[in-house]
Amino acid sequence: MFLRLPVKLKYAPDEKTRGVYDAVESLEPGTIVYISADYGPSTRAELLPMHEAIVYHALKRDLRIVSAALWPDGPPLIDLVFGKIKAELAEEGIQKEYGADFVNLGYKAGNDVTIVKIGSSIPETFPVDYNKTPLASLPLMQGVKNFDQIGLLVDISAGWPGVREWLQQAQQRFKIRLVAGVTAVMAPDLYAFFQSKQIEGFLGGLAGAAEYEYLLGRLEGRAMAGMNVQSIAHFVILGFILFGNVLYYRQWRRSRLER
Amino acid sequence: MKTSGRARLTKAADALWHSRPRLCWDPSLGAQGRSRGRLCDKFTLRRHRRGRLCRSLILFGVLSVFSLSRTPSACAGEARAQAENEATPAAAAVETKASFFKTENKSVLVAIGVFACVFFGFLVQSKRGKSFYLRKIAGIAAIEEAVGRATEMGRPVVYVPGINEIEDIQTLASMAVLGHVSRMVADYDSSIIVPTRSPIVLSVCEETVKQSFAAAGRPDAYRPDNIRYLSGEQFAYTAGVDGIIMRERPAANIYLGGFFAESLILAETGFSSGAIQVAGTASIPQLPFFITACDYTLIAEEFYAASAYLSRDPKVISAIKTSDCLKVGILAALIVGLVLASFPRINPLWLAVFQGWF
Amino acid sequence: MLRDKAPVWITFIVGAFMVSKFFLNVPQVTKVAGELEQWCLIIVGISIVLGVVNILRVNLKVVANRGRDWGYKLALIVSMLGMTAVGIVELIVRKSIAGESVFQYLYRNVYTPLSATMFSLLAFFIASAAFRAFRARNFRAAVLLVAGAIVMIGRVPLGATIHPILPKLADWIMAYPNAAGQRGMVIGAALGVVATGLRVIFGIERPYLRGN
Repeated sequence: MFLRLPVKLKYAPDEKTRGVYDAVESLEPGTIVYISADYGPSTRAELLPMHEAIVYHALKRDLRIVSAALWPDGPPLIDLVFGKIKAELAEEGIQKEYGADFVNLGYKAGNDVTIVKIGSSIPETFPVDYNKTPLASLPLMQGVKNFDQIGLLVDISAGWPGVREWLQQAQQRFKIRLVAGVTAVMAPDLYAFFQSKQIEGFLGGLAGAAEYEYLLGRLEGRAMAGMNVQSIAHFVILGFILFGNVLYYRQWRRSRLER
Repeated sequence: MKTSGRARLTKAADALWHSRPRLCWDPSLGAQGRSRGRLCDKFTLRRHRRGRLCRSLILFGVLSVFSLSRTPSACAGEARAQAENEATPAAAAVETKASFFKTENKSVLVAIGVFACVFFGFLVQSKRGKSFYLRKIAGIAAIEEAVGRATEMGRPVVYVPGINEIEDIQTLASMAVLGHVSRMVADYDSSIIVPTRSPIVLSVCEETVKQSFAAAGRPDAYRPDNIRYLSGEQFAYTAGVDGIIMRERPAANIYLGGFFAESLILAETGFSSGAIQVAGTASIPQLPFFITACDYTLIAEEFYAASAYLSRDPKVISAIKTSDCLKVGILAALIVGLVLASFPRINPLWLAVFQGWF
Repeated sequence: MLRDKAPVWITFIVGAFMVSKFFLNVPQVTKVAGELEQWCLIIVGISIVLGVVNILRVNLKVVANRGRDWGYKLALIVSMLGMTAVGIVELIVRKSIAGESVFQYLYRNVYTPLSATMFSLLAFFIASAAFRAFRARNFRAAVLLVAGAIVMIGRVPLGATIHPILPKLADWIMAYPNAAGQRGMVIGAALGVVATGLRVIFGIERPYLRGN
């Protein structure tokens, strides 16, 4: 019901959202972006919209995407996002093909260790992709050895392993550019890294995804549709808080009067 | 009369100096130091202290041997790199000599070195009988209260060791506390349920609880079915723990370890069941949820200090004091950095050196 | 004696080796460390068998004796064995239904909604926790309440619609007081990690060993 309310909301994308947008905008067409989908179905509602928005932005700018996951639930979500964005871009007359424009390498166990291995050698870490196709036969993966060929690292993360591990093992070690998309609960943690320029930008929760969609001009995006509901939910919780304080104040006043 | 800060520092430095291990040929040792072929200390080294000294020496020896010696393949690699650079004139100007030591991590090595030295200093002091003051932490004292409550009510204690794997430091710290908690449970003749998310953590928990019950003289009271693996998936595990809380109606819930989004679900379910709840984690985003829903919360380093409080082991307390000392050092570094960054005209070079060091 | 000493020495040697890998650029060290990390992954992978055995042991006993809540335990065993069987059979036979394998169908239509449902319980728990926790009992609680309210309103577009200052205030609170507090806690937690790690490596604390 609330999704259909014609509430005209104003968006004010902040520095951290703009950081992600500018990082993708700054890449030359043909550059490879590595997207790590480190989340599962439980946080899909919050992170799938930002994942879609980033993939849409990258493919629209003719960037190429190599995607993998450190969570076992990640690869099906990667396939879901690629399928949806491919169809969306096809409607706009832009054709993107698996193997040439984007690749899903699947899941690899090992957490921090896997990050270091990916940085050293992607073909050794992922000899085949999620569909068991040898990497050597994929046009996109020709010449892609390690992070030296990757222009930007994007981590969509819901917990551990996540942004911290990519920061420690990839950004610090290999000096690769890093942006992140995280759940709203994890966002306060990343301000310190954003201020020290270790992360160029990050999207926090559905609100961050909505701001990113606003910057992209995707006004019918899933995140922007969800902001109506989220805005009202925030005000409902605020109402509960105020109600609780009113009751507490009345109780306090009564006990004072009784004294 | 209050001892001044400077006098205290002098006394501490003095104690550190006098407790240094001395070599056999140190004349101040007299007859005691004249035995050949071994390192002597002023105090009699017992087997376990000698073992620890040996381990420390091996660690620093390994590091120094690697930094001093060269391996053939590294030399070959260096020669190859040099040859490649000579082939490309543009790159020849850039120095590509492979160094054995990662200089970008030098500040970490220095920090670890300082930590180890200060730690051994405090350790030697504690062995000499000096007791260190640790401030009271309500959450740790509440653990015993919670176990006592469970015994009175005849209901179990649920101990959740977090959802991370065994290699996570929070899980290791949680295992250390589990040993003490299960010992308390055995002493009080209560029962403990430990649901785990990882099979390896399950094995460690089984052994820990079993041995704690045996140490308390109650091996018969140990129930292997109370230590359960629920699921490897985060929310399936959460649903399982919630189910245990709602059905078993524990009197006390202890959440110590690494947590993520499930923290509020666990804590609120426990709150609704009426149990006393003690939580401790270094997962900072989850702390507000635990603080809201639990009776006592151990915040970050308080959680790591919990085993020191419960065991009162001088070795472990020395580590706590060491991290407190380092915190003062970090604070001093922060102030220096703040002054240098706020007033760069003092000396821009100092700021560059300071930033380069970190 | 060896049973107590050997794990401590193994922990020390392996721990020291892995620490040295962080500081040294020696190819042999990197190679051996990589092997050790692979061994770790293999052990973690095999350990799932332990978990399955534990689930079957604990729950089958209750089901066989028709103990308390045996129905839930039966549901757990049936789901676990069912999903495992479907996965193994499909791996061998490689059949699919309507282009999607049965395993993937169960994943998308059973596991995914259940997982999302558990996560969405957070919304209700947050509401009840907020009702209890955000009471202005004293000055500091009042400051917390006001800051929380500003961030909650400022982080959604409705806040920007009400007044443009609200998102800026929310960002300022997150970028300065929040970041400062987070940094302090992260430094403290990191020191705790170093202290605990060194205690484990040097064998002072042995949580992995039976009963400490």
